[in-house]
Amino acid sequence: MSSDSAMDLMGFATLAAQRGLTIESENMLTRLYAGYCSLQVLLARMPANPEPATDPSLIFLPDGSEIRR
Amino acid sequence: MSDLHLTSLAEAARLLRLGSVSSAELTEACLKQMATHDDQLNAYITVTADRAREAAAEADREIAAGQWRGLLHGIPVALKDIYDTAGILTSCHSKLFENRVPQSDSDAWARLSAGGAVLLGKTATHEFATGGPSFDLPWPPARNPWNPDHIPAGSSSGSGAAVAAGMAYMAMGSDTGGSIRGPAGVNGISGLKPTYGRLSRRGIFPLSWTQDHAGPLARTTEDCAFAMQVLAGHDPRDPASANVPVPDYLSGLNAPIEGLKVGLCSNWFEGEADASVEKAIGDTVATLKDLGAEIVPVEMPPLADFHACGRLIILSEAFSVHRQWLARQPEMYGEFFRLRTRLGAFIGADQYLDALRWRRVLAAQMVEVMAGCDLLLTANQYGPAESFENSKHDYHFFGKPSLTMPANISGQPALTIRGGMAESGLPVGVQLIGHAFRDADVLRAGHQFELARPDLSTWPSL
Repeated sequence: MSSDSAMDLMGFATLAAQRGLTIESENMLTRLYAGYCSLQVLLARMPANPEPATDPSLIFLPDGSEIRR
Repeated sequence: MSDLHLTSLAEAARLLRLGSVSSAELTEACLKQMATHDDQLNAYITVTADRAREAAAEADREIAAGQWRGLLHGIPVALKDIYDTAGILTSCHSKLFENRVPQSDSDAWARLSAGGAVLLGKTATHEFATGGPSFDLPWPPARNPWNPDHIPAGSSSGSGAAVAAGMAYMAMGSDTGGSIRGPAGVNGISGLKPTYGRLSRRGIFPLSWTQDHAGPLARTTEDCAFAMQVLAGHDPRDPASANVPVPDYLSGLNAPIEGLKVGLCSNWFEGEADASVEKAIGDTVATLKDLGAEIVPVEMPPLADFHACGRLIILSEAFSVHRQWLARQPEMYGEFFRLRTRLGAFIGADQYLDALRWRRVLAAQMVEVMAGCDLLLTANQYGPAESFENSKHDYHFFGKPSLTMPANISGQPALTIRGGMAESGLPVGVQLIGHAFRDADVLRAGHQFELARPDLSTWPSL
């Protein structure tokens, strides 16, 4: 799934339905859309090219030990 | 003793050992506070008064017979209402779990009860530890005992309020992005988010498996050390529990901190925090220097990176936890919870995995910067507690980045202590972050700081 910060409210309503969400009112849809737009700012901060060897399944502890969940 | 309810846990334990006070007296002191003030503060969802009195009586009999069960024997405590307790409502402060009564205990309560602690009840939380403060749930939100028009922060809101108001000697909270340290800071108490893996999360309703931590809130750091001694230990039934020896958290508390190297991280809050926070940090630096610590400035990676990474992980995992119920019974949740948690539906699998990988990179960077220090000192909050009126945000996490998120990303222990008081009379916390599994370091520094600043050991007039 790709994110599109330029998506309008109608497009967002379609995306929400595709994601299995049933939004109970126009008011809630509008507020959720506002959250979705703000979410794009957080997503945009992620590094563009993460190192392939960085394994997400490990919990890294700064003493050098790693716990596998 | 008229202020028995405000005695520290450590002092109460000493008095119990000396026979100067009974568990029944400690329990009644807390229950009286609750009966008198909890209508106003809403710190508790469930009060287990009868069970508490029975447990206190049993503790007194055992103590009289010389059968000591541990440091917390006879001490009245509370649990955030996401900790499972066999036979006692565990609601997660949600209509969805309004009648949920677990059949088994969380690891934390199993350890506390085996050690003879007395359960006073279950405390209010933001819905499922993320959705408040909300007024559309079966129970009202907890309020700040320093000024009930203000929030006690969250999500361990009831635990923070209960401890500050003398309604428990210690209360358990959970911390996924700062939910122990936020309430500790704005309620003027101590709160420890231990090293990831140090305390079991089994039987605590999850918000984010990657970032959830269990931990204590109490009126002093020494009290938190007492609790840690009972709570810490490997739990093979929590896959993230670390099989690491448990040190003696109490023996080193009184050791001087002379020579301790404390990194001062200002770039996370400078220019963003209000004057009360700047002053609390400045005063803390001065006190630590007086105690012989060496303060060195450090420049940490941008706070916004930790915040974004942590929030993306929380949103993704929380949505995964609740997706089935959000689809079938959305009306069982409050509005704030529905809005916030549904955002997780719009984070793709690739983005979630990238956030997990970014987490490891950020944690490594934090360790690298801290390599030359024993501890890191930074702000815990941008100002004193907000009013309820100013807390009606659909998404609290799209404002300033969280000052507490970095230690959830790195898994390092982080202690919040009271650093000062704002002109409004509300407390302001500061944060000490340590190296992994060196929780004892932050406890020692916090304890020594509190001993040096008895002027900060004041409690709200209710």
